[in-house]
Amino acid sequence: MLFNSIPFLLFFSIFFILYWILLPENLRIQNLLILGGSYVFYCWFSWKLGLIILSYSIIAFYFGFYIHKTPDLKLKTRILHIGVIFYVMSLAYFKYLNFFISSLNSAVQFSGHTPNLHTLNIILPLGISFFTFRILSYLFDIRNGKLEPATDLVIFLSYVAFFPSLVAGPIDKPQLLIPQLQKSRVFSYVKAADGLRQILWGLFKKIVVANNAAGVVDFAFGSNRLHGFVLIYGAFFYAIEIYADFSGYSDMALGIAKLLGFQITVNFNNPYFSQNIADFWRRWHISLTSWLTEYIFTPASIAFRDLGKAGSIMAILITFLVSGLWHGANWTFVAWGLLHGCYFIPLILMGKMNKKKSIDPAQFLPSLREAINMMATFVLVMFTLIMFKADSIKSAANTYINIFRIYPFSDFKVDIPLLIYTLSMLAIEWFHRDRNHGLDIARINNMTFRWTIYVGFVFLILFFIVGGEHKNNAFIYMKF
Amino acid sequence: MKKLLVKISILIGIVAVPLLLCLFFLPDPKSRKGLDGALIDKHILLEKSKPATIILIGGSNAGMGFKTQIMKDSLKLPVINAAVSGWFGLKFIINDVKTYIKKNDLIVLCVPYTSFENTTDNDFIGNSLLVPVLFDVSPKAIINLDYPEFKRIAPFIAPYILAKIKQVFIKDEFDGLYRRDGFNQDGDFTAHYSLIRTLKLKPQPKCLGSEGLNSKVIPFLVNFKQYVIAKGATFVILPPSIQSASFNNQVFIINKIDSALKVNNLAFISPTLRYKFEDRYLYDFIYHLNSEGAELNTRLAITDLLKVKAVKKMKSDDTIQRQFHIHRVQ
Repeated sequence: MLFNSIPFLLFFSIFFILYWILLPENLRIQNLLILGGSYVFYCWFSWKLGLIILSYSIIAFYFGFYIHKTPDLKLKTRILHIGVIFYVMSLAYFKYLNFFISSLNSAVQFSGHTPNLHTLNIILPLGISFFTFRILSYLFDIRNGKLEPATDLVIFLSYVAFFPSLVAGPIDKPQLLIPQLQKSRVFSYVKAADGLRQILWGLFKKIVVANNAAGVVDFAFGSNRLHGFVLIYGAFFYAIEIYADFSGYSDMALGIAKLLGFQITVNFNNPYFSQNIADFWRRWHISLTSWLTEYIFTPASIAFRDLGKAGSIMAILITFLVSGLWHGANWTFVAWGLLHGCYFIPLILMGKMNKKKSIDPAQFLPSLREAINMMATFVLVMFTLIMFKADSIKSAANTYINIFRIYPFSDFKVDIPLLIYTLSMLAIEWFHRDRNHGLDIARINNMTFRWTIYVGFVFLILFFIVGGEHKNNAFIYMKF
Repeated sequence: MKKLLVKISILIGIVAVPLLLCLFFLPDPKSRKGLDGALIDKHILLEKSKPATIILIGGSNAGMGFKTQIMKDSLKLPVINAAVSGWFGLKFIINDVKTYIKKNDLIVLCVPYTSFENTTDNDFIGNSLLVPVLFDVSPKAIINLDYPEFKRIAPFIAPYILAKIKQVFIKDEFDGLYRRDGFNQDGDFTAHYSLIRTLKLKPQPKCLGSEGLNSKVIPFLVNFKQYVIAKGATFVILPPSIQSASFNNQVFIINKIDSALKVNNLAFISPTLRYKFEDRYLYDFIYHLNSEGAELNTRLAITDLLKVKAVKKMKSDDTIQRQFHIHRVQ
């Protein structure tokens, strides 16, 4: 069930009525409904996948319980390690086994022998990377004494399977979501109305911007014969597509959660207005960055602290290697992660990695220096995304080479409407950069103006749902 | 909560009301010029018809399959070709003609064999072409719409609204062959008579032996027959004219249809074999006849209709004959 689909609209309408109107505002009932709704939502894709997440969650519940109960620190750590190995191995089985087999076959072939290992027909459970990281963070935090284990299985199962953020994040920390599940939710008009506005903004980004950008991207990268500006143009719109797609999903997830009385992790904070790559990663896929920082980068930095800046570089490279692998089983993701890690090296060497650079919200336009920094960061991210999109390193290399081929203007045709939607999205986000989302317009006093905006957005979205040429409803990050 | 629900309802209303107004009231000149628009003319023909008329109904196979004038001259009876397109679905085709049936009429159904098969429900329920018919050309037909039909056309409604709105801003002239003015005054489709087929017709594939019948079709036809009888009229089914090679490949399912109709007292009025046509009689589809084909098919149909009891009765009824002659003179 996708957020931008009719089944979800029906499902959520029924769920919302049951949650707030028909059933009493009782904690137990609300949580049971969240749990039931989450499993209906997930099993809509496949009921077998529902069994996987259920068994994963129950195992994690007991792991958490035993880690907490064990008084001996060494034993605690040992139980944690068993748990981590179990979940990492499971993730490896579903996500990386075929990648490992094909890589091994390539290596065998390279050494002059005939490979005889066959890849397996494994179905990747939707959102496995997201809920596995959610579970791991629960176990780590119990071990580190930051969190008491959940005593109520329904609450814990609801935390792992919380449907607004189940299949494509955000990866909510247990400290954020579990306490909210432990208190009865009370309806707040302001919060719910803001949730609706954020859903509308997310739909605009996905349906109007991302889906249309996908057409340009498919054209630019669909054929190896294209080159020059077409590929740059395609790369630009891929950067736009992936942002509008993923942040659009996150906006919808946040909006849906708000409608149910929850506050989940904000996943994006205008990443394309970043001043450098460190700033970018503080604003892009924030929940994953925070997870990696807490559980990979910080422990690695501590482990390599004696090595000084070299230790920091090693820690960042390991973190981004994990980030790349988290995204998928392909050398392109590994290369993409490592490239991002490398971009941090100058910042680490100059001691600027942790310096936060933000533009004053009162500023109408960025200064020239800020604009150059923003553009340079964007270009860096954009070119690295070519690696992210490519099927193989070879194909990415071909694209990089083709960009510099002659006849740069051949096949180049600007999609003016798409450019208008994209620039509108970026402009709205720029002027609303101190707000929760692009449609956070509750403070506009003129009701007619506000409603004109809502109606305009609804019509625009409907127009593209109905008549759009590119109706790719699935979200890019769902496959991770 | 109440405030939120009220505001959501207002927003839905603000969006839905103009869209519904567009759906029902915005004109659709493109569809009216197209095949759908021909239904308007066919309704006029049916409305004007006197009792004891032969009404040919079916898909485009029937629309392109007859030369009604020859039939009228030969049978000395009034004949109307009310067939337009099979894409409306057999259910719509039949429901559409129901209100026009008068006493002593002869309803002749001639639809492709696919209308009886279970491979797709399209031929029975209809598809996207039905949307302009229901929301512009023949809105009265909405009354007959049931849930399966609505479910089928629902995904096409929103794109249709958009297409209607687009027509307001962009003049989109209809330039296809299958257009409203391609039909003559009797309801026969003749626009292709002077055209020559350029492509080779691909016959339907050989039956695998697993093909079956659409279980909804026969009961529906049985009900319709009872309805026609109750109105004092007669209902018969004429085999469709089909490409010879396709007939040979599809003989398994054709025989199955034939038997099922016989069992239910709805037998074809003639052996199906008689309506096999060589490619030279066909235009752009295995069921679409060209001018020569239509003439041959009409002559075959005349011979078969003459054997129908109702036709014999109509021909021997002096009042009907007198009316026909007066009508012709007029």
